[in-house]
Amino acid sequence: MADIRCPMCGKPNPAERDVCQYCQARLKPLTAALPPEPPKKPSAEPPKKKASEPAPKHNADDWLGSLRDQDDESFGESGDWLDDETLIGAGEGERDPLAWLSSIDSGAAAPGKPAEPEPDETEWLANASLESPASPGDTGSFERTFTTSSIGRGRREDDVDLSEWLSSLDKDQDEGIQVTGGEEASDWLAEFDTAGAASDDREAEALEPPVIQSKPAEDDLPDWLAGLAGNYQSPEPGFAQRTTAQEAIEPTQPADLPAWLASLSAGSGADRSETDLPLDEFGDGDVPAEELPGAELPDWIDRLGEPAAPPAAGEPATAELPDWMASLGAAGDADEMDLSQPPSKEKEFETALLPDWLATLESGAGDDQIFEQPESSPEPDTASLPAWMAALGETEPTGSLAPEEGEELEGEPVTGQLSEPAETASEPEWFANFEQVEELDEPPAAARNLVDAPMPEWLASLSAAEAEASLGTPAEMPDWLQGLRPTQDDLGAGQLEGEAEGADWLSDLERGAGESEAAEVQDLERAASSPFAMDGDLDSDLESLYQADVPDWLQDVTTETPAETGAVETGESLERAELPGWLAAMRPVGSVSVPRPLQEEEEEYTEAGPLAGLRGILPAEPVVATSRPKALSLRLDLTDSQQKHINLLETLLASEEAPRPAQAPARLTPQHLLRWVIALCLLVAVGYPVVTGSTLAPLPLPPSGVLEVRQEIQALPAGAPVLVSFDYEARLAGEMEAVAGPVLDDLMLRGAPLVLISTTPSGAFLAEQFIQQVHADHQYTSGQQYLNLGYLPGSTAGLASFASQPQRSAGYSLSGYEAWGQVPLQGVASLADFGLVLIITDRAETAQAWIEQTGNSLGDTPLLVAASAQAEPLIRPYYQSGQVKGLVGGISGGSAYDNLLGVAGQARRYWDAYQLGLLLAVAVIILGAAANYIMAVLERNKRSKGERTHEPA
Amino acid sequence: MNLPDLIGASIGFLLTLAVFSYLIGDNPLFRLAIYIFIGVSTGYVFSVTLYNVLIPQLLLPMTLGNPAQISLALLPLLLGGLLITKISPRLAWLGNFPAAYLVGVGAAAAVGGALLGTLFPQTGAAINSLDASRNTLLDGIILLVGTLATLLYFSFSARPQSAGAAEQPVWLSSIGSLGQAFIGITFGVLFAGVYSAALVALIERLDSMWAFVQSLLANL
Repeated sequence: MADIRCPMCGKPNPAERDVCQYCQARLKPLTAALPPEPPKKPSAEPPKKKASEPAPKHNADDWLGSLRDQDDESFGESGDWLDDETLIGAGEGERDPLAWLSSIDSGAAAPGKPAEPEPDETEWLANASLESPASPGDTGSFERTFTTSSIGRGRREDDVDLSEWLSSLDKDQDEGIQVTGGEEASDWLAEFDTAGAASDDREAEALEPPVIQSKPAEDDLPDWLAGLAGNYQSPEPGFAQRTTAQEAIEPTQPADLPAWLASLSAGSGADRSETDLPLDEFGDGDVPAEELPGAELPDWIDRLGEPAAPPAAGEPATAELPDWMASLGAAGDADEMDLSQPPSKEKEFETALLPDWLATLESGAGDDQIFEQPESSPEPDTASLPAWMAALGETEPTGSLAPEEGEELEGEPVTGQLSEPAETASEPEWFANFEQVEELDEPPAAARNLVDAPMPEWLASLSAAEAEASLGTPAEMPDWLQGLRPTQDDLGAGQLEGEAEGADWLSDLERGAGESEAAEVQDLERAASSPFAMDGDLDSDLESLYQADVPDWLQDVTTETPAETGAVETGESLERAELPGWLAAMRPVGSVSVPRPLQEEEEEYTEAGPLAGLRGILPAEPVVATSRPKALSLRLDLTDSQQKHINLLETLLASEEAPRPAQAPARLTPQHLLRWVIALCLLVAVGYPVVTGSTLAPLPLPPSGVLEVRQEIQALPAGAPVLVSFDYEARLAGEMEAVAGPVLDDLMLRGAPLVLISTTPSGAFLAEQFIQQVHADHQYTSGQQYLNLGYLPGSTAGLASFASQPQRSAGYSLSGYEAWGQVPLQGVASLADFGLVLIITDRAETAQAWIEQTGNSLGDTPLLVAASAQAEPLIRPYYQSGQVKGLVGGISGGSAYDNLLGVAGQARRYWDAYQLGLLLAVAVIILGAAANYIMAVLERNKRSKGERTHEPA
Repeated sequence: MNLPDLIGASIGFLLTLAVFSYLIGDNPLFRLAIYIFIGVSTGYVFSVTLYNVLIPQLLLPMTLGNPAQISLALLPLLLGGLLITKISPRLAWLGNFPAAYLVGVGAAAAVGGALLGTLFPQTGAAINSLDASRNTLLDGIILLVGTLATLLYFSFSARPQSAGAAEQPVWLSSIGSLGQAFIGITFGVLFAGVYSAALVALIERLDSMWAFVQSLLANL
């Protein structure tokens, strides 16, 4: 017994094993174990046919013939079992829906009957077919389109004859379509039509009553079906791009295919935009009815038109029907389940190995429960139908195939759940196979196996043409490929010897390689095309069954086994050594290392990914995977000391950034207490004499400066004007009034005219206030006894200007009048004309400015200064130098002058308080110094004691 | 005491107490009194300047003066106007001309006055103080020693020694210490003068307050 090579790992396995002993992949499809009886029926006949031969109209051996006979027996001689009267008058459920297939046959049996267009097609139906779905996601449009296309497909098959029963459906609609699923056997068809009408109604935006819309046509076909047929005559252009099988069919169309298949291929590649059928795969076999001569139809299709025998009551329809037909419904059910997701590889493989009807027979056994029957739909109706029609009947009235309009019309709730599977259920099996061929683009082996599967002759020829078209016609092939092909043929059937002519250098090379190399090349191609081909009985049986259906060259390719593909992997026998010299020179020999193939024991199971569980899979990384670089640690190793330093630094930085809370000033501190005590003592010491008016303290003796002031005043000529400068601030007005008061009192006692001036803004008004308030008892009048010249601006420069040109610098009095014409200034032209200049100031700078700027302008005019106590020390050198003739400094000077005058002036009132204040200050200074000294001594002693204690004994 | 005097005396009394409140620390009353003094002084200075400088020496000559007075008044007006441009940073350079004029004139006056009014007379007086015919020889000697010692105190030059350290001569450092003593005494005298002035001001304020209280008590 031959071994079975695993399609996954490629290793040989014993034939009795179902799964690979190496990779646990399935070796035999599940369908391989089924009884071979059903598939042999259709497979026995097609091999007798040639692809180029037209299909016979009738075949006496066709199993469908019995089916037709049964239909004839049950329905009598009348083939129009679906005419109006029969449909309406017959009891519901009494007719076998298979009878419509007879109309298919009758329609097909009239080859000469031309396809008549439907002139009075209802426009709404035509529009419904023409209109494309509103959007890809528009499920309703999608389903409606499919519905109409499915019906239109049936109509195209039987053309006019079939329209009879369909017209009766329209009549049902005219009568109100009150038929429910439980009342009539063909209720699903009625709903089917109703659904289509409703969808068209919606799309036409007419929303007219269905009675009007479903007006029966004058001809046999209803308009909507005619419209569908007409639409289908406009093929879809984009369809050919998506179906590779049909691409291959197109070049072979004129020579090999019957007319209806030619139209099929043309329709598959035609315009899609017009019909916009979303289920293109279901329309693969849709051929316009007028292009389907009955003579070219396969016999098994012709027999479909024969009346089928009615099924026995209560017996399932699948028991009566042929297996392939019984499996249609199941297959449709299964396909319905698979439509939502791509078919699995395993299933494709199984389907490719077996005839579709056989595969679906097995797989579609228990799928009927997927669809929910409407509550009103009786079970016997479904049982009497073919399975695929039953599925169609079950599905279409339910779900989204019955849109809202249909619900409104029917007045019945729609309980269906699946809508898309119904599309698959309505297609014949051979269409499904054809569809699978189209879908199996990858891998190509699946398509090849599908070609190998049992198929009718016409389909085999189609496959042959397709394969040939895929390889390219001899005229289209490049030379090197043409040379390669005869080599294969020579090794195989040897039918294409003539095509090997004109081969180029490559073909010559192939011929010269010998049979062994040619076989290897053949194996290589075979392995590439059908990696999943099986060795064994099943494979050989299938090949023997269909060997006559496929072209020889394709048969050779199909029957080849991938047993010798191992030679391809190594590539040792290829033309490596026979490369052209120039090409061999360019080959980077030595720079490429061929990895050593893994041994079986080295092969490991794949643990992850989609190929998990398989062994021998090439790893993601090459065998010579580079060693991983050594991982370098990014972590810095620190010693303990370094870590401590880092922590310390972090702490310092954190403390720098942390805001320090502001310390609230203490309410009571020793300094505050000391300050308050001193202030209190001072207030008491000063306040007490003021309050009591004490004059206990003796007045000081007048110093020399006071005496000289006194002498200068006494020496002042009578009526000589005296220039008095009030250059002090208000804050020291009390002291200055006490200091200068006795001097001015002496001048005023003598009746000297006073000319007041000030180098400070406040001095002018202080002077006025001094004359008017302090010495108000002298009754000096402005402009008469005194004249206030006001503020003299310019500081030093102003003084210099005033010293040089007093009239220009201070031409106006404080009241705004001309100063130099008034009485106090009469006879005065310069500073030297003044009898005396007295400067009352609290700042030494002012006195210095006066001395410096007016010293040369005064002449013999004495300059006297009454200064504050804080300015006296700095002015005294000028007095000692003789620049200032007299100096009264501070309250002591004022008191001395009072003492000299013998009056109790303001200075005298302040003298006691001043003395106590001085005493207190001296006391505080002494006490403070003593305390500081004591604290220093204590601190020193403490240090000395500490040093002694810390010194070693 | 009439009403204006009473109001004035009352304001003075309250402001004095507000200033005295500084004994317990900075407080709003003290700040209020300070702000009032600053404001009143500023307003007072402005009024004095207006009525004692601008009107009599600028506006009156320009309005009532003869062409010569007017032309002379235009020059200070121009300089004064340019000095105002110092407010604007973009036009401040225009104020440099009157500022330069003021600084130049002021410096010249100060230097001339210092030379002629202070340096030469004081130098002569220091020399004359040592005149034996006068009874100021001791004062002159003290003045001379004190002056020299103070000047030598501010002599910071020293000869480098062998060890590399620079030390002033002993006699220079000794005289410098004497000069430091003179400087200390001088500052002490100045401080005593400041304290004396402040003490008199305090006494004057207390006397004023007591007078106000007496007047109030007398009127009651």
